Amino acid sequence: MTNYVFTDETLSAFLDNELDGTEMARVRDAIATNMEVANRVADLSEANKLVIQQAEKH
Amino acid sequence: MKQELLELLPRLRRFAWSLTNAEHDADDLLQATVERVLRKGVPDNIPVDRWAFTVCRNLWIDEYRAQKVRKNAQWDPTLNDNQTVDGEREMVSHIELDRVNAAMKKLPEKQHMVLSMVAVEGLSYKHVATALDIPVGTVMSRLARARSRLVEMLELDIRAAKAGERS
Repeated sequence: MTNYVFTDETLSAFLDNELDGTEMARVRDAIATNMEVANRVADLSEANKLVIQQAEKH
Repeated sequence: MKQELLELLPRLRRFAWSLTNAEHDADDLLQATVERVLRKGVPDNIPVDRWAFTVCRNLWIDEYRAQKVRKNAQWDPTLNDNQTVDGEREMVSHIELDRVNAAMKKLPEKQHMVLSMVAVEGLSYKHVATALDIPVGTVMSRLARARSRLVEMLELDIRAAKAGERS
């Protein structure tokens, strides 16, 4: 399971809590055990955070 | 046109309901939509129903944004006496946020729109899909492309960042 490759679509939907329960758990497990997945989620999450901060400034 | 609008009301009401998720807000939104359409009229080349749905959606987005701004203002430390400083926000410089703004503008309009609705306005995928009349899968893919493109443009790749000066 740790080698399961997630698409950006799945990881992005994970950030929004929009996957079903099983899939959310699968991504969470992968973040804990797979550095590649964890890094990618961190990147996408950072981009998202900046978008929110940028919007709040306006 | 009035007659057409009248026949459209039940569908429009369902649409308003799907956007607001609250009976009271849906009625307000429906009323505002009908008033706007009657006052401003319908462009010649656009069917009344299509136009009414567009007006409804835009009004809702405007109102939603206004609410969001009001809510944020309550928590903005510069607008009250609360001296608490959001450390994380402090770290992000104005320059960086300007870069984010510029990068956002480079995104295709459709991606930009979906990202704003989900990330900034906090709407569910289902809400966005209904509001824009697109499948949920399209919402997902536009979001993923927008975020991935921002990671690229803003050079947020974590491995690169570790080696660089970002801390």
